[in-house]
Amino acid sequence: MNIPKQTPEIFSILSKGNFISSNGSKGKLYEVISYEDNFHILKEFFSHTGYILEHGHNYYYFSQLEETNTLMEKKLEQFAYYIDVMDFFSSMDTKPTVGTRYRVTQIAEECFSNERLKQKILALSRKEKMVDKVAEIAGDLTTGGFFEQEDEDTYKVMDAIHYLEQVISLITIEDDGEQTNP
Amino acid sequence: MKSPLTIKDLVNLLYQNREVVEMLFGNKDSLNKSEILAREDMSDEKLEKLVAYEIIHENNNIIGLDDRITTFIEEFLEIGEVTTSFINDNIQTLNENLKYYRIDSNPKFLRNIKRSLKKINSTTSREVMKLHKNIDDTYKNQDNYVIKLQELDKYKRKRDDIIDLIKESEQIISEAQGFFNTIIDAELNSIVLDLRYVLVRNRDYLNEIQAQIIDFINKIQYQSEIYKKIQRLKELKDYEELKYKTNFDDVVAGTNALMFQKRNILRSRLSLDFLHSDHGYMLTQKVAARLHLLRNNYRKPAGKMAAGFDDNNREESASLNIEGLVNKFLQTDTDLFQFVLNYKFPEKAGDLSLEKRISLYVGISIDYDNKLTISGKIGKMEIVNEKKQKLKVGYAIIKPNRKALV
Repeated sequence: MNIPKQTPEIFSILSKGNFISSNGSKGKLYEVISYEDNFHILKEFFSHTGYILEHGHNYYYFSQLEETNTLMEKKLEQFAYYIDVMDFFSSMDTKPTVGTRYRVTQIAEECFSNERLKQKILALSRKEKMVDKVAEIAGDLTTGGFFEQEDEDTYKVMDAIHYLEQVISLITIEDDGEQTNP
Repeated sequence: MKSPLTIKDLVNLLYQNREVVEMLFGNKDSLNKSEILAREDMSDEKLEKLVAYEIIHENNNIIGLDDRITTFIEEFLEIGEVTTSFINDNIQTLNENLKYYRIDSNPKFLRNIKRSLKKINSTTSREVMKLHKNIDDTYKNQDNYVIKLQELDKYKRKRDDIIDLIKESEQIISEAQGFFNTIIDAELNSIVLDLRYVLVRNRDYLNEIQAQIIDFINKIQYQSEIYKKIQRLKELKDYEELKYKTNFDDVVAGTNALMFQKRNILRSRLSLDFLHSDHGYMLTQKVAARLHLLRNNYRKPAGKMAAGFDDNNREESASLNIEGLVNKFLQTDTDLFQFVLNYKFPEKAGDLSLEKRISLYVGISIDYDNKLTISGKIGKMEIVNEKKQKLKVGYAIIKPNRKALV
């Protein structure tokens, strides 16, 4: 069994809860994991550390089975926040699909002209300036690994956004006549 | 006033006004008359002339390029909407001319047949290319979901139409193959062969396009559902109903990606071996500088020691060689204990403590007993130890064995 030489780098990214997406700056590592039998080799290798290497559509991440109550609360809180943020981005003209590039100044402008977006972002961030508000939530998605910052103004949507979509599609809403689930 | 246009006139007219034509073509939604007149290369007169020759249309101060010109440019540059009518027209012409040629083998009809075949070849390829370009463009650039879906659906139908036309063409060619074979014309043969090849290739291409359209439509549908759902979830969340009306808690509980877990940053201790290395020294130096701990920094690490630096030490320990000591003792007449106790060792060996001298005495008495005479008598003496206590010590008197010397 030959473990790829990039394994420490892969581990240090994934163990911090980050994703490795095929369309991000870590695309090289994505290729390394996808190369030949590497995924299974690494999955087996990392299983000894207690982390499970998982793959989604064009991205990899670690999962772990241990659960505690405080962690549960934190997870719920965090995901509730992602619903808010994703709601904001899906209300815009440009939807957060893989590869979409957002410019902070552009979003800020759209917020000024669209009252609905404006209300949403006001609820999301307490920063004073509109640009800072946008940068803050884009930064949050970047920390989560769903966006990646390309330059000061530009953020790119990563493959890992599929993870959020996946979780959202798993949620079933009680039928109240307003919406059917995909 | 308006005289009929010749081809030369038309081309000239277009050339003279090429800037305006380009601008009007780019702005299909038409431009204001004042905008056109504001251009340096345009005057009222010129504009009137263009309108008179129906190159452009004027309506309520809005100016637009004549449809025929637009279509001409689009067709020539292979841009714009996909139409199947061109292929269809050519197929009809082909059919007609085939019929005529069977009745009357006039070379004119053969020429028409060849031209139609060539045209089917080029129009099919062109429309397929346009189709692919438009599908890609729609998927990537159309912002509105409903329109995007409907457009893709339209292209899906167009694609079916083109496939049908390709099948029809293939049918006609294979039916006429026998007939073509009777015509001795090398060019016709190569045209037919080429067309057959192109038709097959385009059919493969269209199959690929079909898969792509379906994939795009599915993706869009899935994603627009997701976005709708996100917004619905957000609504529920705002009404505090997320917990009760959805299985949000269960789903989130079921996600065990590390991103939701507490981030345990792995901490490891510095390796001591590393700190002893040169690199480690550099690092500690850096940290110390940052913490202003370098008051003693004139103390540089010692330079590299010369090879063999400890040879002298080795000699010293060798100079305490007991052999020599015993030999010296054998020359004397004293007893071993007194000898060892009072012997002046060379300076290099330093001042030996009482304990060391005693152990030396014991050691010699054991190792060299064949050279010594143990008399059995016991000597006594007083010793002051380090704590200034007086001790009385008894010791065996050992003398050199004269016989052994011989």
